[in-house]
Amino acid sequence: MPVTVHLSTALRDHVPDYQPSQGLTMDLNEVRSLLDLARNLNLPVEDIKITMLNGRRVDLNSPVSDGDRVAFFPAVGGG
Amino acid sequence: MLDRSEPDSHLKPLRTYLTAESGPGPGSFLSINSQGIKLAADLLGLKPALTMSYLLKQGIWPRRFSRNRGVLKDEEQAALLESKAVVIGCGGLGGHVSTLLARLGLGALVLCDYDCFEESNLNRQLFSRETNLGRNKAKAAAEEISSLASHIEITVWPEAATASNLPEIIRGSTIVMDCLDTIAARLELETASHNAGLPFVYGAIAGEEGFAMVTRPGEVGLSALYGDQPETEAKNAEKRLGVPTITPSSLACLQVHLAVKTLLGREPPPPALYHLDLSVPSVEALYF
Repeated sequence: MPVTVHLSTALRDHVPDYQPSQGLTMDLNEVRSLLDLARNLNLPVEDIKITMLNGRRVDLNSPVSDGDRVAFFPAVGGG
Repeated sequence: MLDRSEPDSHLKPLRTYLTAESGPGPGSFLSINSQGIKLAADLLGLKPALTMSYLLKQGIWPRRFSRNRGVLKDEEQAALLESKAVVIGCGGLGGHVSTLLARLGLGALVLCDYDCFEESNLNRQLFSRETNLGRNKAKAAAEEISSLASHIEITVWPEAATASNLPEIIRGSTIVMDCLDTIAARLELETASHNAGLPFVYGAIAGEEGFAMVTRPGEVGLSALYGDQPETEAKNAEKRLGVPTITPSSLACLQVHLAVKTLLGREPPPPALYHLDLSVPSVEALYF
């Protein structure tokens, strides 16, 4: 079962044709951690400030499993 | 629920300014118009906001707030009139946030912004006008709020909020609204708020997305989210993604809703970062 990955604000720039309502559907294959997942997507890892796994905040080094729902957020300061 | 159709005896002179209303909210109630509030302020020797708070405690609703009844109880509307919110930043978020707080019935506002309106603000900043470009945002906001709600006590700080003047700016207030535009300034404001024992209400926007969160002294704060060096490549997100008018106006509603819940002590939620994404559209609570 694939994982679903949602990206926020500037992180979306790194994935062409990202659709906010659907997010990305990915097969894990060799991916073991959220960090691997972010690298596979060519996301700038240093810009990821919040990582959510199934609605809970986790460390970027946490493991990821089939069927998980993942979201990556950068820092947002605009007002 | 007690139905009220007559004021207490010491408020009898107000009779001609009162109207019996059947709703909204439970039971019937009396509302009072603005002329009656002026007379009541003279009779009671109180300032307008505190006069309205006093009347609410007798079950008499200022007519201007009567449509808040049903969502707010008498004592809750009174508590808002006794509250003082600090709004730091009077641009995209701050213009909407200060207006919403005024319409909800906050009794006092502190408005702070060093910046002046420019043409590129006209797409989204509520108080920007073709006629006030070049004017200080906090001063313009104060004028607009006064014309909307003359009972509000307004303090204007037309200067940058810094670690050195923040303790003075937020002194005596009840809650701090973060409507700034850099994370570094937000972290400084959060620290000053918590040092003063005040809840801090974060709001930030970029593109069609926004974030809001209440942090309290001793709880998870912005620095726990973003770390001490938060501004990496993402710092220019707002500039790259732009900000259409729907984003600050929507996020301001969420931010003010969280502020009111906090002020009224309603079902304090577990600490959560709320993520608004108008491109879906959706609002999601992110728990820690």
